[in-house]
Amino acid sequence: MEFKKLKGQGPERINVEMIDPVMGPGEVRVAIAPITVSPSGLDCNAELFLGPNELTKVATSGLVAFTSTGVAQSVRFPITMPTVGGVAYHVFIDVYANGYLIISYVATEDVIIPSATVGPITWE
Amino acid sequence: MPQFQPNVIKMAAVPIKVSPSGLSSEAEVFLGPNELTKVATSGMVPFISTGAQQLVHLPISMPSAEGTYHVFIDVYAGGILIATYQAIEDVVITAGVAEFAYVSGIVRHYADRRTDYFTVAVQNISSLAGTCTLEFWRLAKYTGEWQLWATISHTLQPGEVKTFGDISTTWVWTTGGYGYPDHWYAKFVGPPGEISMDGWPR
Repeated sequence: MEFKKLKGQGPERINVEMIDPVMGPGEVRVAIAPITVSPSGLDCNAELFLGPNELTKVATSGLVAFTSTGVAQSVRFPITMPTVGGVAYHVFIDVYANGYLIISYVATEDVIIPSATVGPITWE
Repeated sequence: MPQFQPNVIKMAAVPIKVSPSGLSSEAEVFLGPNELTKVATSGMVPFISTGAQQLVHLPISMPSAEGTYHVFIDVYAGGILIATYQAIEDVVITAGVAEFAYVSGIVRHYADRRTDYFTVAVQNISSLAGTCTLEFWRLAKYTGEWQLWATISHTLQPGEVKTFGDISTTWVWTTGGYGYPDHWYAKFVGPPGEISMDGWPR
């Protein structure tokens, strides 16, 4: 899954490993994102969240702490998928260094939480 | 409760709604004592979601063993199980039921100067013993209405022929304690179908 930058410095796009954008309601998944924060040694946090826009967090990994290395490092974001199905959610990643939001990304693909209903069976 | 013979292939037509549209979806109907034991299954049947209700056809061979089975439906989207349902009605598998046929027309008998009665012969044309229940209806011309007058049951072995109706069950007045011409119509209704005749004046 590819992310494009919303704000901040850094590459225009990053790739987040994701096999399939279709997820089950309430399912716990882990997003692994390669994040580069420079210089090294900074106390960093990153958050992955889903929602209709970047202001509404329907599901979130919360802040995941790591120390910058100055090179790309895989950061893992465990997140519980929304329970409301039949909806496609945008995927966002915010990165902080020393408490400051330094970059925001939105995925180019949405996460789809499907829903299903079944009516009465007719036997033929 | 639907009832089927063993091993027959039936089609479960299931209205399914998967949202959003455009998703590669699958559904499976299976029968079993519980949702973990699949005695019979349609297997995965693919379809593309439309976001609206769509009729999905799931062919399934009924179990070979007689009994009552729960019916389950699982729905998948993108390979993920997103819904599981159990039908409120079970399916009953039974080896079959006896079949019957009329082997005569309705026969009118003269019992005495005031009473006639009707009979019909029925044969069990299947390989299973069973009970045949017929309704005897009669209609008097002076009333113009059909009247359920008797219900008659007989157990017949395979190939056996029995007569339904006798003086005590399918009788009609003929001299008319009501003083009317004795025109009677009669019919039998039951598993062999419906058979009727006109009455005639004595």
